[in-house]
Amino acid sequence: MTSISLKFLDRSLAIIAGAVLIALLAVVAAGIVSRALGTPFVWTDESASYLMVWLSMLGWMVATRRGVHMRVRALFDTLPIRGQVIVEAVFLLVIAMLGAIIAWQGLHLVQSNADVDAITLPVTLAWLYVPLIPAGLVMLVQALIDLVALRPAGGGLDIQHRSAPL
Amino acid sequence: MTGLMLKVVGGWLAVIMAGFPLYASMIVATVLFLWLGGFPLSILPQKMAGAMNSFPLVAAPLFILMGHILAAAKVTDRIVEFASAVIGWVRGGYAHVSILTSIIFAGMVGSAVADAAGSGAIEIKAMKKAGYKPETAASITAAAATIGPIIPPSLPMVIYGVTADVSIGRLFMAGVVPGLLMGISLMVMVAFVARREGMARQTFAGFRNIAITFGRTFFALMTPVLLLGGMFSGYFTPTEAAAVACLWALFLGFVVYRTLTVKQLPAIVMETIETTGLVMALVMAAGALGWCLSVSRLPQVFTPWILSWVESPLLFLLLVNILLLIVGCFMESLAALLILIPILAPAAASYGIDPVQFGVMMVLNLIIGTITPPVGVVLFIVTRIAEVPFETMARVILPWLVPLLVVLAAIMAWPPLTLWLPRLILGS
Repeated sequence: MTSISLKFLDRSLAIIAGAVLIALLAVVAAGIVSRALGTPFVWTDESASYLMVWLSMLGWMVATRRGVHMRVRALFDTLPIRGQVIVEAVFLLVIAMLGAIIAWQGLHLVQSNADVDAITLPVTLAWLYVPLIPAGLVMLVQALIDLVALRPAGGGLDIQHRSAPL
Repeated sequence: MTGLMLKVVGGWLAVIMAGFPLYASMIVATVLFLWLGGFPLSILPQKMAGAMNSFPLVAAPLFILMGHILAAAKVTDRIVEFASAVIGWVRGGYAHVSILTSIIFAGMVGSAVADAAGSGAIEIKAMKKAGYKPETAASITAAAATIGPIIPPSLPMVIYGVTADVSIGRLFMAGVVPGLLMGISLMVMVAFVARREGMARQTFAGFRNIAITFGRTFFALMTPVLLLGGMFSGYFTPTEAAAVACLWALFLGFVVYRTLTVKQLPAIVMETIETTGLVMALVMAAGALGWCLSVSRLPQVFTPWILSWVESPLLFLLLVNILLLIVGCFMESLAALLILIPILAPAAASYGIDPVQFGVMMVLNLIIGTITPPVGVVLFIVTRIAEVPFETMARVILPWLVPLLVVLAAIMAWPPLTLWLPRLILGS
């Protein structure tokens, strides 16, 4: 049941994030074309910024699900396996708490901005903060899943992470 | 507030070193500061979303997307072919080809990782086949890849520009001369090493061959022309240039070279989304922590303190460079950039150092950090491609840092190297 739900979550995230990325590209391109034609759209910059917020949050959720966030492993790797498990468990509990804070406070932000209009778009500012709620929840749920699955494998803990593509 | 922030920063560095995910460490520090300082916790998500609500920042995911499209379309293979025809016939030709390819590719992608991963495999394979030592081949490829984010477009410069509130267009232009100098200085180094080690060269296939490969590579070579020409002529902003570049890359892959298939698109999109999430999680967390830093007035306390110790701007820059080189050895460049910008940029401004010069210097320094052991993402990539032990690479890469450090010292000591071009095109 859980694995089906998670598969559904991953698939939904991929589809929505893909659509947002394509929309972002289309909106910026529309801005250039409309300006070149002498009738610049006023809404392209603001909608691109809104889509950017959504894309970042969705990307953050995807990176969280795949467990690839960056970390400095030099000292952590020198700990004995038991130490690694204990430290990682504490980390995951803290991350779960942070996820809960972001989702809860994000909900408050959505409520308090529900009647503030955007400048050029027919939506409210609340839409900027909406993706914080699922992002916080994914952070919370993923940390709990990782906590339950936490056990040493082979030479140490099997923790994934990726480097920044600079 | 400053005292509280100092304690929070101390705890934050401790959890980073303990191995806590970097973005989450910044969120922890922000939550602690807000909670202990009596601020509402809603500031955290507000500043995180606020950091992303930026049109200039849109350039970042689009440049990432373009890099993935170009890699999938195997555009680099053609650039290597062209570079081989142009310069492969001089002594150490294969190494010169690697550098020239990186210079050209730098005008198309904004990251050293994209450069090393995109052209590294084909270049290192060619050098190994020609009898070069694998570790030397990998070192040259890694050193040349650092040109990627210096010549525009540049992902770290977009992030520096947004975080430090500096014009991204100016930063891009300021990177052109240092990027070319990096290429030239590496070629000079190759010339010396090639003579000493008797490195092989390719046979000169004639000017006709150069013309033929130029014709075959023409549309790919037009990418930097389109990008830089569009931006520098003021026809479009860096963000818009990123969108145009994505569409151009799709055109190259689907129409010109027909190396891209629709089936590849979902993987390209998902790679872009994951990379964007990885980078932006850090940028948004840094946005929230940056707000705390400015409220705590820590930079305002730090700046007079450093001014009282160090009077000369040049000495300040030298100390900053030493600090960045040390940090770059141990920390991911992006994280180091985001952590240090709010502290160092105001201090640099108080010395009268141009933020554009400071930005290029900081980016170049931290990009050198991607090829310095023990933590260097580009070094990891080439080590894997060349199949040499990391310990060997960690030793062999060291002399190849020298030409890059010379360029770093030059842009530190002589501002016109970075500021001449943006001032010429955009005025002061």
